[in-house]
Amino acid sequence: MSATLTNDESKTTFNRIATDLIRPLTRHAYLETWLLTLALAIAVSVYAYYLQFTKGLGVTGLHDYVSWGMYLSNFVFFVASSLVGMLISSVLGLANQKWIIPISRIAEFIALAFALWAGLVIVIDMGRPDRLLNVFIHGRIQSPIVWDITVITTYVAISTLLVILPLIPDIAILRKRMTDAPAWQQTMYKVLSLGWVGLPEQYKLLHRSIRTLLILIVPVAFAIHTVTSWLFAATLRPGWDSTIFGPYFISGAFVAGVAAVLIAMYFFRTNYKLKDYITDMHFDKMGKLLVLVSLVYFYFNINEFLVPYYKMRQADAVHLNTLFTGHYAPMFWSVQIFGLILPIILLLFPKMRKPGAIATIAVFVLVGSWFKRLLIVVPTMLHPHLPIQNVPESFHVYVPTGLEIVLTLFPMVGVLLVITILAKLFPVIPIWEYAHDKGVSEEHINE
Amino acid sequence: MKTNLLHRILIPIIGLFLVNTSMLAQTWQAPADAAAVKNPFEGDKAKVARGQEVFLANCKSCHGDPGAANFLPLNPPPGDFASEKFLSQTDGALFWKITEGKLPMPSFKTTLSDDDRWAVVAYTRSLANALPAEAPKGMFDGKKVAVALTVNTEKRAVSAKVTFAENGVEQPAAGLKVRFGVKRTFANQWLSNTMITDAEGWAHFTYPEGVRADSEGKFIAVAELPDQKLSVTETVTFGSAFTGKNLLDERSLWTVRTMAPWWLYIAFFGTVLGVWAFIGIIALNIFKIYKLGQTKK
Repeated sequence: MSATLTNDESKTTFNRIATDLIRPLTRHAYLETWLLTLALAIAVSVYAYYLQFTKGLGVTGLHDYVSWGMYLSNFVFFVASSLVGMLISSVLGLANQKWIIPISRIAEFIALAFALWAGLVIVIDMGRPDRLLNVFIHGRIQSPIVWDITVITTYVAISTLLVILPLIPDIAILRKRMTDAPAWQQTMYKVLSLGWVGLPEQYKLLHRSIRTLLILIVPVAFAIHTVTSWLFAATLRPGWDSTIFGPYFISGAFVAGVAAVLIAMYFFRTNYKLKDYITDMHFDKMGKLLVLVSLVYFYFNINEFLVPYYKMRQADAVHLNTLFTGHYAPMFWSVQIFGLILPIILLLFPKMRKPGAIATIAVFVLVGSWFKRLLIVVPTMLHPHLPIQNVPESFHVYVPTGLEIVLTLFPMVGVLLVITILAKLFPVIPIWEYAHDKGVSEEHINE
Repeated sequence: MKTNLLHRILIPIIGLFLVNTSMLAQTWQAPADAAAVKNPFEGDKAKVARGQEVFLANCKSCHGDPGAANFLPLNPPPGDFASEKFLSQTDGALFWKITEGKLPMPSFKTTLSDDDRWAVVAYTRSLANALPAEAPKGMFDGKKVAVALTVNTEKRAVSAKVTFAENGVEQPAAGLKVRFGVKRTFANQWLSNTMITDAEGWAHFTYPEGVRADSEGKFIAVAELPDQKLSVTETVTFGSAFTGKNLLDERSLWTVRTMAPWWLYIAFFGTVLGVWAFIGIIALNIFKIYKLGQTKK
């Protein structure tokens, strides 16, 4: 609560906030074109998947040695990006950082969208998706794959609740104000507002539930990405056989997630005309946060590469030489320099933390994060402990096919679609929390 | 000054050292008085047996099986105890060399008693008559050599009769190397020294007690002629029965799911149920919020 407002001020402030934040839900410039583009991309992807489903994984660049390629890298990237909801809302929210209020829902939308699609990425990676059922029928409780499926399901459930619960008072506001919306939308608001009238008991239950979720999601988010890292680290393979893979993945996830949130923040600020709500201050703080998480990730990178490099065990040496000076060196050094080191240095300058500049940097960080996952998954698969021999020449390398690239982009399109739908049906900034923070009385929020 | 010092003192010393070592490397002679000493245990069978024990424990690792010339490839070569090079030396010379040593051969002055060292000399001397002569190299080249095994279960003995065929006539193959062992999963476990077949083509080996075998006491005995790259096997029943512990019988992380450890069940389901209980409470809260709204209306 920044200031005590008089009754009239409170009323006008709330009106202004509600109007500003609801306006983007009613104005749809270029929305049809955008949705059509997404629909087209999805149609192409569905056809590509049809080809893969009928002809088998042979249509991809995957083979006996690199059986985890772009799809699995994509999966790790998706799980990583979904962790940001926990970082922003829980870690910073529970630390009583009020400035996150306008961006917390954006982070939650991103978290939910990525978590929802992460499971589908795994299905895309399966030549026989019907066999997914076998995990439930024959799965071993000792297998990290079973743990992964359990924890992803749980994380999706909690993320969904964390999107829905803070939305309830906002939906009640929408129910009252969006009277021009189509009938189905009004019905939806009516159902989803759950008869919210803003009773003190309702507020009490809501706050307690949100707080429980914010605490609960911390261990679950840590579990989801730690278990994902164990899918790799529970093997003896060079590049994966590491004891710090859990924290290495989690710190990397925060880097990817913060970058994704920054890009979304920039988009909504300009497209939704929310300059007064998502301010330079938010970009500045998120920039500092990105530096912090990047430094932590940088520290884990040093551990992950320098220590094996110092020891140079035979199998590790082959792997590390491929990354440092061999086939994957251009990608490896580009990712480390443009996706991690340069952003850290640049973001130390306040000018670089202005919206436009930092959004550009965030794009580099996010793209770098995706390729970093590829560098974690693929080179190790090309370096088995027993030499690759007596196989076709093409099995010595991994070259993804066009179809594979399409199906890797497909879930990303899906994420954009989910975010688009959410951001067109619900305000991207929590109206009631924001108004409350600005000193608007509950009476005006509920009226 | 410095160059003078180098020229006058160091270089001659280094030179002397080099000459000396290279001379010593060529021949290793026992001093005449030491070489003249007689073995106090000459012809003592008990001492020969003791000498073999000491030999197996201390000498075999480098010098190999007597007569098999399978000593380690060191420089200078350790040599075979049954070779002419050894047997042509006097008892006193052998004793002196065992006592003093010359690297890489260690000195046994302090590790073996005088009696034991003399016992080894007695054992070495006994090798002269005991070992059948090895056939000249290449004698059996291109000839079809065959091995037949006979097993005496009571005595745990396996005998190999080695023959070769010449002009259609089967004859005993004398002087061939044979060794006995057990066929294991990835390699053969050799239990005997390398032996030489006698004039009748026989080589005999008594297996020690307690050879690890399958659950019924069976194992596969193997006799090999290393030079002929020929080996024959025979399943024998005088091993010591062994039933291995099946690791899959225990609860562990690497077995089937029905054998998962209890702590994992508790940790996994405990955590999952705990988290979902909270999710359930939240769902209940949502329902309560809805109910409150209804009553207000």
